[in-house]
Parts: sequence; C-alpha cells; structure tokens
Amino acid sequence: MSLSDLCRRELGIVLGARVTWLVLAASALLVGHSFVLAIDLFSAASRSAAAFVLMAREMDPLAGVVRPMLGGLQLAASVLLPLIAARGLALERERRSYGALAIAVGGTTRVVAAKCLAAAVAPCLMLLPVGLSLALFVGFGGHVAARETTVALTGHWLHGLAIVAVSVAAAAATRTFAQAALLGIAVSLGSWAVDAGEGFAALAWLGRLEWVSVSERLQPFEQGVLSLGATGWLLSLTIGALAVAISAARFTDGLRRALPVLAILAVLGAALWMFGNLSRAYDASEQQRMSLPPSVIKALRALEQPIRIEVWLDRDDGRRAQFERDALAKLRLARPDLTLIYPLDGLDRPNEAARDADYGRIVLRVGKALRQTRSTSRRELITLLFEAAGRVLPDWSQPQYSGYPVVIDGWARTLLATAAYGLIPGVFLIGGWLLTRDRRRRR
Amino acid sequence: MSSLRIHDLSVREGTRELVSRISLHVAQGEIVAVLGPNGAGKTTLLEAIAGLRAASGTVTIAGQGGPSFAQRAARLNYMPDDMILPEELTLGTALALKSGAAMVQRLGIEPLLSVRASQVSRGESKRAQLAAALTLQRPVMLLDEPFGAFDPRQLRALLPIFREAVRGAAVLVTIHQMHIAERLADRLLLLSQGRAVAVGTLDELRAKANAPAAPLDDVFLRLLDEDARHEPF
Repeated sequence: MSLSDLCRRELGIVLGARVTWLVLAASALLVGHSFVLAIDLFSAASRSAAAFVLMAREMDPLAGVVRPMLGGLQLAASVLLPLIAARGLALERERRSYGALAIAVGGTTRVVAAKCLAAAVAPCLMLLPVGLSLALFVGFGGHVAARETTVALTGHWLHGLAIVAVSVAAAAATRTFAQAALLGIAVSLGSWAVDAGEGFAALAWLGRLEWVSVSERLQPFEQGVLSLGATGWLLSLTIGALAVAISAARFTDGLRRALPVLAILAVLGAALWMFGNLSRAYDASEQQRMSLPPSVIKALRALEQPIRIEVWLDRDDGRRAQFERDALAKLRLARPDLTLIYPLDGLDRPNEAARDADYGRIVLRVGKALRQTRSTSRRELITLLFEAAGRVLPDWSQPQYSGYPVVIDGWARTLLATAAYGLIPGVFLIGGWLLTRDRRRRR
Repeated sequence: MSSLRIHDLSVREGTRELVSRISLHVAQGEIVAVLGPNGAGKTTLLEAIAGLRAASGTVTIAGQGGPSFAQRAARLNYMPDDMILPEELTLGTALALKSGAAMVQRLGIEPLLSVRASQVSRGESKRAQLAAALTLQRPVMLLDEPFGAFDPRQLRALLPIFREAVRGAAVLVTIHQMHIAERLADRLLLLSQGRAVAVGTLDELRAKANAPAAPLDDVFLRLLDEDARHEPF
C-alpha cells in the first residue's frame, strides 16, 4: 500500500465516521452559543459607549467577541476532539487490522503519522464556525483586526493539533477505543485542574504546575500576542506526544516498550518546563495596545541592570490577578528577562497567617536599587522602576485605541442567532449525513 | 532468496508458553500448512514471525536474520484471520485495491470495490482481503485461515489461482479444513499446545501416524492422540 493510498484511507476513516460530524456540529453549537452571548453583551455595552468616548475605547472586539468564542472552541476541543483523534488507531487495534496494515505499508511509524495527519483535519474544521461567525459579525458592522485575530486562531489551532497528538498517543498506549478516548480526555482536561487552583490560596501548591496549564499558554494568543514560549510549548507537546505515539505503537512489550516512552516523556517534560518559563513574545495586537508606550519599551530595554519583582500577594487576591493581567503582561513584552517572585506561594503555613505588615507589597529591584509600593497601577510600577534605575520616566504617549462599539439587534441579531444555533451546526450535520449515509447496495 | 527460516521460536505471555521452540524452514515456492486444534498457537506463531508479538528465537526472512519490524514488513505479507475492515470505507479504499488489477479480476471482486465494508458479507470481505494479500508481491506470505469463508464452488475456482499467485513466495498458511490442506500444501506443520507435534509431507505424517492410506483428518487425530499420551501432567 503506497503512502498516498494510506493517507486517502485514513482521511476516509476520519471523514466517513458519523462521530466526526456530530463532534463538529456540537463544537459549532458551543462556538455559536458563545458568539451569541458575546454579541449580546458587546451590543449592550456598545449602547452605553455610544455616548462616552472613553467607554468606546474599551470596546475591544478581540476581548469581547473573539475570545468568548475561542472559549467555546477550547471546551469543545478538550472534551470532544479526542473522540475523533483517538478513534482511527484505537479501532484499528480493536478490529485487529493494525498489524496487517503496518506490514502492508512498511512500518508502524507510517501508520501513526498518517493517522495523526488525517485527524489533524478535525481541528481545522473546528475553526470554520469561528471564521464564519466572525464573517457575519463583520458583515453586520463589527470590526475584526486580521493580524491579532489570526494570532488568536493560530493559538487554538496549535492547541487542537496538540490534542490530536495526545489522543493518538493515548490510542497507541491502550487496547480499546473507550480506554483511548478516556485517557485522551483526561490528559487534555488535566491542565484544567491546575487552572482551577488559580485564585485559591489553599491550592497555592498547584501554582508550581502552572507550566503545564494549557489556558496559561492560550492566554497570550487570545490577546493578540504571539508568544514564543507558548508556541514552543504547544509544538513541543504535539511533537512529544507524536513521538510517544510512534514509540508506544510498536509491537514490543514490557520494558522495551515502556523505557523509550518514559525517556520521551522525560524529554517532553523538560521541554514543556523550558518553554513554560520562556517569556519572549511579540505584540501583534491592533495599535500594539497590549504593549507599553514605545518610548517606555525602548527605555526599559536600554536598562542594563536585571529587573526583579517580588509580589507579596496571595493567589486569591484580586490585586494579584490585576497585576498579572495588566502591568506584568506588558512589562514582560518589553523585558522578557525580568525575574518574578511570589514569596507567599512557597509558604507551607496557612497564608492567612502571613498577611502581616509585609502583605500587599510589590518590591521592585533594578540592579541593587529597590523601590516598593502597594499599588498595582501600571504607571506607578513603571515610574518606580525607572526611579530605581535612576532614570527619568520617558514620554508615556501612545497611539490611542479607538475601540469599535457596535450594536447588533433586531433582525440582524435574529439572523446571527439562526446562523450560530442552526445553520452552521446544520451544515456539519447535513454534510456529515451526505458523506456517511449508507447507500443501499444493489445486489 | 525467498525463504523463511525460523529457529527455536518461543512466545511467552506471563508464565504461559503459547509457542514453544518451533523450528521450520519454508523454501521459495513452498506452501506449508499449519494445522492444529483451537488454541494450539497457530495464529500466535504467525504473529510472532510477522513481528507482531515479542518472541525469542530467530527469524530469517529472505536471507536476512533478526530483521527489525520495518525490514520484516518490507519482505513479508500477513493476512490475519479475524480482521474487520473499517466500516466507513469502501473495500477498494480500505485495501488499496484498484479495479483492473489482475487479482481483482481473477477473484471477481471488481463490483465489490465501491461497496462499503459494512455492507459486504464476511466471505466477500475475506475474498477482497485475499486479493489484496496476493496483489502485494512479497517473498514471504503468512496467511491465517484465508479460506475459512469460502463455499466449495468458490474454493474450487480459487485454489489454482492461489497456487499460481504464490508461486515465487515462501508461504505459511493456517488451515482448518483438512481437505484444503491436503490439496494445497507441500508440507504440513502440526501444532498442539504451542509445540510442533509433526512436520513433513502428507506421506511422512502418515508414516509417523502408522496410517499409510488414511486421509489427513485421521492422521491429524492420531498424531494428536499420540502426542496427548506422551504429554506430562
């Protein structure tokens, strides 16, 4: 069997399965529901913003419309995509056709690679409802910036590819489809446990595992920021899982099977840790609104001394979340080499007891100079950084993001909802039915 | 040289020995039928030779000893007994069979190529699988119960085609129907509880069973009974 025959066969298995189209329809429904809710909220906020310029600047379609849709997509990908991705290899093993297929094509690696390639079509198809919804949004007067939206979609596409590779690895390591799907879903949802710990001081110990959180990796993409660390992390996961799949799919058993898999997992863990701690990123957002003013960035990069920030705030403190989302994210874009320390996260005693006079401080060190504050304001923190470095705060002016308020209601809203809840999922259902229906065989 | 040589081949699963120290040589152009009661280790033996199961001992395929799985895969062809084809695919896509291919026409399966695997009978599926196996010209062929789903009329037409198609290969084939083994095989390997009870031509097996003119099924039963008497408890 030639490679092209094999690829055609694997693609046929993915696209010829009803479960593929049901999953795509369910995913489209989740994305559509998020889209309609986002449009309603964005329209309501836009109505108020129409009267106030300052409010209008806050109307960011990437955060208000695209990001909620991608939330729906992430849920669908994490829970449903393993059903498509694990199925090909798992059923082949269940049907006892895997060995003969591997011999016919000349090796197990080719089979696993072809299965992965075929399953990778699914995350591409899952992005279609997002694209169609955004096209409708633009059609009704909404604004979508191409570059930042492409970055956001790329992050979720990479996430989909990683889930595909993890699910195929799960199929290679198990005996049945049910086991493979469960393992694939468990791994893909595993990082949510780490995310669940965010905001809970009692679960501070989970913070040490933040480098395995998928949501943490997707966050910069969803802000239009192309993060090298997050990209490397997702690609490492994909390549590592593919290597595990290839190794586990071999016809060996016992230690000869387990040792290479364990070695790959160790290398993968190291790669994920390394990329999880890599902060370099490029701001692709419209008007570079995720970054500090250009002159501030230039001046920060010109500082030769190392920057170290100690944050004396617990994980469940809202100020800490605000600091991370705003000041820290922008500072890291300018100075990815800065060192960040949360001294309270390392304490074993209940954190309530640690809320003494030191609590709430943010200590900024530039070289040996030190400044501290209790404010999480971006401007205050940057000012103190320059003060510690003995420099004057540079010009703070920045191109103003104008915001893109839009009100979609009445018949337009009805049309969007019809498309989101009916037409787009329906296209997948009808397309799937046409492709998978049993044509009566003429005897 | 297209031949298959196995030496001291054993397969263990936990403490159980599924195949025990089998040695055999199948020459180019030779068909060796593997016979034995259910659970004798026929399928396990074929899987071990194909590299689908961990085994001890040596396997030499077309002159290459101890080859990796990929090297084995390039030199042999394996048709399992109980394979279920993906129901989403047509037989043509599932088995990469093209209409117009010689074996497709000779086995008369051209009309089946565009039919989904879920819509064909077991016999039709098996016929297509055999066509695919015979189309893939490799020096060594391992076939597990390839004739199990054929009716007598089909078998009568099939066996000469089969013989001609595998002419240049070393063939190891498991067969349950004794009359087919009798007609097809150059030599026979009789397995019981993973061990080789007897290997040889039909006449050699008859001589061993002290049944000079007996049909193969009688020889088969006598040899198994004889083996059971010597089997330690």
